[in-house]
Amino acid sequence: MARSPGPLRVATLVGLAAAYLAAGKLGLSLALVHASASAVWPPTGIALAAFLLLGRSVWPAILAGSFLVNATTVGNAATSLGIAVGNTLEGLVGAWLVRRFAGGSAAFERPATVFGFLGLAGLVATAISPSIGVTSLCLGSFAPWARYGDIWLTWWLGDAGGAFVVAPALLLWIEDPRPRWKPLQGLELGAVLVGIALVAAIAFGGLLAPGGRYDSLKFLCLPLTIWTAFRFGRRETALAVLVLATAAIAFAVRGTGTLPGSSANEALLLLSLFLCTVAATSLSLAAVVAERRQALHTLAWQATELARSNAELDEFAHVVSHDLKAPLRGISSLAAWISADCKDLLPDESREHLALLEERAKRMGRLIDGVLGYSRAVRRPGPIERVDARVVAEEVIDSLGPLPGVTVRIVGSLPVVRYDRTQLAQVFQNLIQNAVEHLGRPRGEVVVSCGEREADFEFSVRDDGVGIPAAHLERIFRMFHAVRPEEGSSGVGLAIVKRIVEMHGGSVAVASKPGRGTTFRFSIPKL
Amino acid sequence: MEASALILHVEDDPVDVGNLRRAFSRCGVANPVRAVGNGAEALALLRGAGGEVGLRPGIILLDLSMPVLGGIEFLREVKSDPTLRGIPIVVLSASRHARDLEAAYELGAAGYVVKPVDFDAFVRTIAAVERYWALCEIP
Repeated sequence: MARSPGPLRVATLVGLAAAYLAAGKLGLSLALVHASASAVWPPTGIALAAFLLLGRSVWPAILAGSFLVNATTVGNAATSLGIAVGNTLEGLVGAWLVRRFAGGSAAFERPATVFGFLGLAGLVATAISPSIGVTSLCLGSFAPWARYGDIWLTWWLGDAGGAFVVAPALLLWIEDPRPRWKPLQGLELGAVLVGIALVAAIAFGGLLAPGGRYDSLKFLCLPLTIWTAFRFGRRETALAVLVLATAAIAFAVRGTGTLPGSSANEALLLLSLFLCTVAATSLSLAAVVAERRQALHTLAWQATELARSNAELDEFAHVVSHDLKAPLRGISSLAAWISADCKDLLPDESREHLALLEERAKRMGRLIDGVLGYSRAVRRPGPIERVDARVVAEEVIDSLGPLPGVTVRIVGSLPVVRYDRTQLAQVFQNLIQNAVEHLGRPRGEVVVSCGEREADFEFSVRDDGVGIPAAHLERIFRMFHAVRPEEGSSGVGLAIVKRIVEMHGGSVAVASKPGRGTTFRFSIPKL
Repeated sequence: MEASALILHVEDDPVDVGNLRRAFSRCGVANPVRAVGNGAEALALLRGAGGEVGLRPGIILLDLSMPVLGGIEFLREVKSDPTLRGIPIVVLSASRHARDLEAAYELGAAGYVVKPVDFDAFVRTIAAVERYWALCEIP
């Protein structure tokens, strides 16, 4: 099994251990209360990022780095090893949890996984290191058992700070290190970062007045980090949070007195909490903004795609119907020629067959026209405008001309709706024509009316014809499901109605009583 | 249109050529008809090749989708030629596409007729076209 690691691998591990050691020393130099308590413990962030980006096999580097940090600070070899094991386990468990439940190194792309990352790696896994570490210190008599709770809490919050502040910046910038700002944007980002440092100087460094008088101004950093989230992206927001933490801690270390709170320890906890809160707020917001940007981009792309595919479909329908009709016209013509030229030569049966042939060709022609009509009716809708449904219905009824034996009338009032005018006319025309054609009696009446409901208008076209058998109702809105292949019926009229109504956010329905008549209903959402 | 005026029929489908001849004889149109299979042949006839004088038909009936030189391209050629642009051209096409319609009228077609599938309907259509052109004075 043993495989000697390549030089690159060794270099990576050594470099990682060195970075961990350096970050540890930096963290210790920023310690506020005593030698090993820092508001933000950067090595936690380094370990977490390393395990997420490089995999769990880099644990020897983390273990070594952590051992060296502690061996040169407080305790003996045994306690240092205990603490190192705790630090390494914390990173391993945190990375495993994030990978398992929060999207791994892509955790900052969505708000849900941002919270998953901060909760699991930042709050849960970070309990491991203080639990093992403080126990080691107390066992080695480097800390009193009585202060176990205090030290544990400080340690935990420091590690959480590392996971909240350092890990996101590392993960995001290592994955995508190229800054893509235009000069003016770079200037803007610089100004925001300077602003954040200034807020930290005033709130934590006593720039305007010493003694923590302007401590409450620290919340001014929120608009700045939020600004970064909206104007820039996740990387810049993580950077802003890192700048805030660095400046706040650096200023706080210079004069511990400026931190409010009854004790320095309490002040440290408050600073940790503050930084974690700002980090969580800003990073989740940055994820929301990034997600939204991505969604808008996808939407725009899909809209273009859709328009293109609609145009293609349109072209396809046209080509198909045109090319299908050419041979059909030939068939029809040749049959007509034969029956004209050989009128006296052909037996009756063959003449009948020729007539059938012509009839079938005609029907095929109607079906093709239907396909074309359907695709025409549903493509490129015109403008949506305020349309008086009554005017449209009256125009349609007029355009149908005199219908022997059938009266078409409008009962009650029809409302003004928002619709594509041509398409509304098409809906009325197809429904009325359908009612007239399928009446099945020599005389009858078709009634158009409308009822108002809470959210929409429900129009109905009712006839007193023979009705439609229940078995046919279900598929009546499908293309080419005409109950009888009527002369002149294209078989797409109701399919067009359904498509148009649904494109305008409504729905269609049909109810029929055999022998009593049929009612078609369609709804239009209110203005 | 005078009864002696030549009708030039530009059409690649022999069935459609036959259809038109039959439709003409059904409606009693006795004008001479010359049929050619594509736009290039028609142009060659109109411009006169090899010292021959170019043909001057009273009207051109034009299909759109043809090999070699299609109807739209033929229209463009004829309408940009000062000696030919006066000849009225009626498009006889299977296409209802708005794009074809617009292109044809934009290039100066005098009419646009969609060929019906049914032969009887075709005869009625041609009769209507003939009645209209019988009323028109043509140069």
